[in-house]
Parts: sequence; C-alpha cells; structure tokens
Amino acid sequence: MSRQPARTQRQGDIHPITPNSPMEFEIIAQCQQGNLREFGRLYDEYVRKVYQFIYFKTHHRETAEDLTSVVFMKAMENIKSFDPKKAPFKAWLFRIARNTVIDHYRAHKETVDLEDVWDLKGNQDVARDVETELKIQSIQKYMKKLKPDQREIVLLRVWGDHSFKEIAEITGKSEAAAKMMFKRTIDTLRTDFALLAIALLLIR
Amino acid sequence: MNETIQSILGDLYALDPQLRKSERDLIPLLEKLAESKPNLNLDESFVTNLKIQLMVRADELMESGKLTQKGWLSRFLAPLMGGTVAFAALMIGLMVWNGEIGVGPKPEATPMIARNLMAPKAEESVPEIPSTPKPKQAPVKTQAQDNLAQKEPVVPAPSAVSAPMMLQALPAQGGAESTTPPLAPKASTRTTDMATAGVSNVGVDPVAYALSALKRAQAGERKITVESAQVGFRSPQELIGLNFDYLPEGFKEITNALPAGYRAFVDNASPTPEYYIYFEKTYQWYGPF
Repeated sequence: MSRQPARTQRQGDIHPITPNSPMEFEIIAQCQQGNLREFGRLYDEYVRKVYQFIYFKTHHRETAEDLTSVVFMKAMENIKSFDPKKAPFKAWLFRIARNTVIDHYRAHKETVDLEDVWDLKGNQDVARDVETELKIQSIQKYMKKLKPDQREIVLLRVWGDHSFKEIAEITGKSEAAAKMMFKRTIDTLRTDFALLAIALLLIR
Repeated sequence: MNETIQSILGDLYALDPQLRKSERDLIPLLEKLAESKPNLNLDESFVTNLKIQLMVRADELMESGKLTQKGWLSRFLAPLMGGTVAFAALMIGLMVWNGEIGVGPKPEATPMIARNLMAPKAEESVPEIPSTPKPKQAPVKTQAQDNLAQKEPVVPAPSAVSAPMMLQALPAQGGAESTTPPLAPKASTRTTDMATAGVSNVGVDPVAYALSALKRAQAGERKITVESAQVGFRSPQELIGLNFDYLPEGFKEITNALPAGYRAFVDNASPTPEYYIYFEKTYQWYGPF
C-alpha cells in the first residue's frame, strides 16, 4: 500500500495488492457495490505504474500528472463497467490510460493517426521536458519509425522494466505475442542501428 | 551491462537462440535504449493530492448513490421506511399538539423519555482507561448522553467513574442551573471531548488509552473525512494525506498498541495530547480522542 508510501513494514501491515489476486477481486467487487473508498487501495497499487506509462508517452510531467488524474477519475466512475471475466483490472486500467493519451493528442492536434508524443513531428508545438528531450534525442529517430504498439512494448520492457507477463496484462496481448512483437521490434531497431554504424564508418 | 539488459538478452535468446550471434549489435542497442530512459521524478504530493480528490469524488458518488447497487430487499424496504418516519413524525406532532410532550410544561415526565431514548447499548458504553477505577453502581454514561444538548446537572462522584466519564462530565460542572432535561440530541462537540476538556491526558498509559480510543473508533466515533471540520490540532486533509515515513513533529506512532490492521498515533504537538486511530484496511482516520 502506498497511499502513505514506502513505509516500514511491521507486523499487521496490509500487504500490497497483487494483480489478479483474490484480494484485488474483493476490492473491485466492493467498489462495484458502491464502496468507492476501497478504490483508494487500487489507486495506491497502480498510480506509479500508470504515471510512468503516461510519461513515456508524453515526455511532460504536468501533462502526465493531468492525464493520470483523468485516468483514475474515469476508472473510479466507471468501475461498475469493469468485467473481471473479460480482462484483468490492470489491462482495463491501462487501456483507459492509453485511450486518454490518444484523446489528449488528437484533441490538441486534430490528427487522427496520432497516438502519443512520439508521433508528433519535430516542428509541432507541444510541451516536453527539456531534460527528457535531450535524453531521448539519440533514439527518437528510430523510435518514431515504429508502430505505437511496438514502441509501447519496447518502452515497457526496457524503460519500465516490466516482465512480459506484466506487459501482456497491460497491452491485453498474450505473453507469447508480446514476446514475439518485442523480438521483431528489436530486430528492426538492430538493423537500423547497424545501418547507422556502417554509415558512420563510411563517413570516417 | 546491467541486470535489465541481461534479462532482456535472456528473453531474446530464449525466443531465438540464433540471436546470440548478433550479441555484439544487440548490447549497444539495448544500452542505448536504456540510457535514454527519462528520469521519472514522481511528485509524492501529487500522489497524495490526487488521492484526496479521488476520495472526495468517491464520497460524492456514494452520497448521490450513482454507484450503489441496492439489493431488492432494501429497494422494497426503503419506501416503507420513509413511511415509518413520516408516521412517527405525525404521531409526535399529534402528541405535541395534545400537550403530551411539551418543551417546558411537564419537566417531570421528560427525563424518563430522554433516558429511555438515550439508553446505552452494551457496545456503546464509553471505553475506559483500564488504569482508572471502574464505577460502582454509578449510572453508565454513554456517548449518546454526550450528544445531548445540555449536560445533566448530576455528576457522579469522581472516585466512582472512569477518566473519560469525568472528562465528559466536567463542562457541566460549570453549572447549568436549569433543570430542564435535554430533549434534542445534537452532534458531540469538541468541547466535551476529553482531550480538550481542560484536563490533560498526560500520564495515562498510551497503550491502554489507544485501546480505548480504538473501541470508540470502531463504534464510528470521530470519523475523519476530507470534508470534516477541523476539531483537533491537525486538519483532516493533513491527516488523510499523511506520509507515515515523514510524520510531522510531535506526531508519533504508539507501536504495538493495537491489533493487526489498526494503528494508533499520539499528537504531542497539540496543547494536550490527541490520539488518533488509523484503520489500515479502509485507510480511515478517527480522532482526535
């Protein structure tokens, strides 16, 4: 539990919620029955992961905070529509997050094929953290070439350090499909990087 | 090469062992990707504030009943309950009209009514500090009585009551001379609470006191919500957003005082120590006690 975060464990502490655990199902059931205060426990478990996911797609702290707020408000208000038989809660929550980011950029840029900040062209005016802008400079060109779902898997695995099981839950794909997509994406990137290396050698 | 990259390579080789031949290309690529990871400095105050906003919204939604799934029984009973209340109100109105209940004319009859209405249930009795003597044949003073608009003029002998009872009774010693018995219950006020009744609870056994406070909290007393008025030294918002790792000065946990799932805190920054109880399962604060 991390509403009052990272505190020292002691006897009697409530353990963090494990995704898809009976405890998580119980909390969700209580929320669906109207006890929305229980939603706070789901929030504690997922707020950092959702924020991270959104930040990777926005590169802007304030935007990520705003969109995280929207995601959790939407999730709480629509918790009754969540069906645990169809998908894990985590997948449902991250789907809301993904759609919220897409809505944000499409609403601002009036471009239908835009999914996140990676899809923006360099000259498009959008708020980004300068530090992040500098850090991603060397990979931006290659990442932009990828499809949004390919990019998402790479960033979740490499930046987010999520396991493929978690990535599968977040993306709603099977674990095997997520692994295969990751492998293919890395192959694509490797080829691009190799071409760059050759080009640099030729220039020298 | 860090652990993440090693782990990713392991995943890739498991998928396609042929990729081992390309390790010289893969490692720089993965390192480049990992180096480009933005710094994620999540503002903890944002996390706390958003949670407060969510809980406020949760309360609004619960109050409006938008998300409440009522069972068929409660749906069926609700109109009947409404009718019962209306009928009771009508009967009281008729009795007042007939003079059977008066605000002032029949003072000798009302104490019995008031006492019967306010008769304590077993679980409502005020928890006592174990170190204080138990009352002998003294009438049990309850939280319900604490809620009365005026205190009863008769105060049990100090030796015969527990400390909380004494503290609750103290404001009445100021001498409400009127013998008019109370009729209307009202919400308990901070002035009748033991922590501000002018008597310090310094010196009591914190663990025993925390246990007594827990019983009161379990009875639903002094529940703190974001919309609660500030009655203690700390605002409700401050308590709800409290980070256990960075407790404010004077605010300390009484460790090992309560059963699993509950935590007790004492706020020594206030003029008199204020006790708070935290329910871990529901994230709910109660206090000050």
